[in-house]
Amino acid sequence: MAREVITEKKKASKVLKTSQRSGYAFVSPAAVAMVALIIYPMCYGVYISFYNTNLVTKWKFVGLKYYIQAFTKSEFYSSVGLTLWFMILVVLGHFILGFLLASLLNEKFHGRTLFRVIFMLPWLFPESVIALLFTWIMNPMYGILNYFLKNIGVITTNVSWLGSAALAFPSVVFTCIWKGYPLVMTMLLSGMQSISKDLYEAAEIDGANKWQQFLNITVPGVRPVLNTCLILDSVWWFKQYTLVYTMTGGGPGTATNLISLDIYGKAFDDLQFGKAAAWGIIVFGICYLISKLYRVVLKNE
Amino acid sequence: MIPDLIWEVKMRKKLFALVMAGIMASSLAGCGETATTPSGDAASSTASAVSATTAAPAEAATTEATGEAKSTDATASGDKVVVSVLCAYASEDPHGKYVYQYAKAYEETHPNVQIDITAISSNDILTKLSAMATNTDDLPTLFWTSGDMAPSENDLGLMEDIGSYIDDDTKAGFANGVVDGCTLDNKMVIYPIDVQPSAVIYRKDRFEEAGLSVPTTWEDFLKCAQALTKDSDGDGQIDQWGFSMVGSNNSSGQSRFMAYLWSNGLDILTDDGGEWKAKLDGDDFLKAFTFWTDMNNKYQVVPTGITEVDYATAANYFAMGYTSMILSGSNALGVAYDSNPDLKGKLGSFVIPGGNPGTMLNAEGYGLCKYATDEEKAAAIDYLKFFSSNDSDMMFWQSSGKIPATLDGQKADYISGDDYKGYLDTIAQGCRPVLNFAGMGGLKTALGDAYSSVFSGEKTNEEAVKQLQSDVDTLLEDYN
Repeated sequence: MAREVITEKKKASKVLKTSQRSGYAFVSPAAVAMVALIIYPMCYGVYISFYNTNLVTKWKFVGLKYYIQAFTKSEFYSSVGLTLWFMILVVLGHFILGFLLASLLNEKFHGRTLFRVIFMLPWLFPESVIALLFTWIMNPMYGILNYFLKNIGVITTNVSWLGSAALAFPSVVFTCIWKGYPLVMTMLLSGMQSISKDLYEAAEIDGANKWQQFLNITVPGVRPVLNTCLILDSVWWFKQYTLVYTMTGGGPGTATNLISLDIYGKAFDDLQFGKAAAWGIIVFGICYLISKLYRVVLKNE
Repeated sequence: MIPDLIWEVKMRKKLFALVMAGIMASSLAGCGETATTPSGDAASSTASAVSATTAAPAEAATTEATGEAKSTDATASGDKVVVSVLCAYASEDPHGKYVYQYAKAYEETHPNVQIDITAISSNDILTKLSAMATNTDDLPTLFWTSGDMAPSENDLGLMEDIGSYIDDDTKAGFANGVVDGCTLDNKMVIYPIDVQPSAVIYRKDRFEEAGLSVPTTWEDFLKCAQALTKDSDGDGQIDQWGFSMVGSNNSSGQSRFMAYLWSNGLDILTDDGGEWKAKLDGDDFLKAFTFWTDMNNKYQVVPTGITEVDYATAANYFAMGYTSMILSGSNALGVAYDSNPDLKGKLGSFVIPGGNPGTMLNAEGYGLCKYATDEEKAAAIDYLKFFSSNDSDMMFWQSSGKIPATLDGQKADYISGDDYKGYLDTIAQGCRPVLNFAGMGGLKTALGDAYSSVFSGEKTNEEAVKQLQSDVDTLLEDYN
């Protein structure tokens, strides 16, 4: 009996070892890549955040100086505040526009496929191309936006859309909304298409109008997609760099100085890698908190 | 049986986690080593001695006692030598093509040497080099540099002492002040190709038409700018501005703003016995700062959307006639003539107003990478000598508008007219010594943030100057 137990134990152990080995083998390439491309750089970033360094000739240990500075001097937290505000506006714009267009494209009409393609186009262009396009559209001397608005009498003199603190931020928000709405629209559309038409028919029979159907059927029906989309979109646009850098470089002044641009500037313009790394670590923490917060709030709902 | 299996699995997981942690820990320990220069001295490149005024014959004379430079003969081994060049000239019009022409001509006469040119904007070169510096194998043999960029590059430990590769005759061939302008910490760090002091280029024809004379003070400059700001086509919109200010928040704009401040006698930073001190307080600084921003916000003598006007835009505005004055190096003349040949004979230049030297000599050229091999260094210096002397028509300099760094070059016909007068007067009157501050990038960023926040209406002048003082104080904590 004891021998049988031992034999069975050995067999089970062997089976387990074999399946474990093959499991480790399957995940190890991804794990190695993750360690090399994500974990190692993050750990290195944490390490250099404790130094005043140019990564080459200067390694002066400063401890938590840069972390303390981030919370005591306004240049970091004001930039984070601006970035949060930017993220909220852009994501809100994506969802409003995305919901609207997804609802329209969910209806049957002639040319629906063509419109689906057209509405996807902003997402297909690279961010730098979109940024350059809008920079030229909004150019104060040669841009067609000023030309068009002057012709219809909305403005009388050329407006510097990207050169004024009051207008630069809304201008880049608008451009980012235009660039990013197709992803949200597509995901919501796919969610809407999974909702059974019977529910809408039943609601219509019960006397529900379009708005009530939207609130009580469509929104709950796309909630799983909505949650994922919200988290992804928020984190992506919190980290936005290319569009804003190309259009305004973070200016004028600090009007569009998102935290990603600030970190890049600290590292590669000012060669203050330690400070940039400290800020990057804090931003990582903020992104993690955002995703956690969303999960908690949406899970409770 | 099952609990034993679970225990075994848990132990294996713990062991795996320990091994991974150990790998990460050992890799972190490897990251902590200080990068050393080839001589093993990691600290010397952070020294901040001002080179122009120090004399250390034993150190400065990096040539040998007999005055002979190190051999620049790269052919000894017979192997192909690749000289990689990170070049800002090559990315610029109209003179970029001559960089490739000269390289090709050199290769034809030196078949064992290959010149690999990578074009890059001068505004991006420090960023690129700082990223490349973390892996010395990635560094180019030569990289474009200038008087205001060299301190940061020197701080990265990138720069070889070029003085040990060129003989006294070659040094004597450079114009007065050029070698000093290329020296940091008793080391010649730039092989000079041209000098780019700043001056104001102006439309002589418009000045004559308006009855204006060349201004010597900034107040007179403003009066000239106001007189030249007008609605030239009568449609009720201003379409000509007096001053083509570079208002963008990048190196081009920041450098010009620094030149303006210096011309007002404001030092910005001083080296007080090895400690950097900011000189941004006081009414004089605020007054000068306000005057600059008022040119846009109050007097509107600069083009609309000033924060979007970078050097290329400002130079084009000037070339196309939208503006009548531009504060720039002489390269703006090259852009002007190339874009609008009708401007020949219509341009002049004058010394930056203000009564104080507003510009460094700003030698431009190439730095020699300390990490290149001896053969690469020798070939690179030989190539640079060829670059400077192979073209008797001096097309690179003529087409770009740049002033040659050599004595012979500065006697060329093309720089004898009114258009270069301001530059030659500036050089004759004497330029500022090199500001050997490794944190120049951060300082310029702080200055740029200050003026652009006022241009955009984000801050008042007082608020911007207060923020600037705070930013510079924070910056200096890392450099003192």
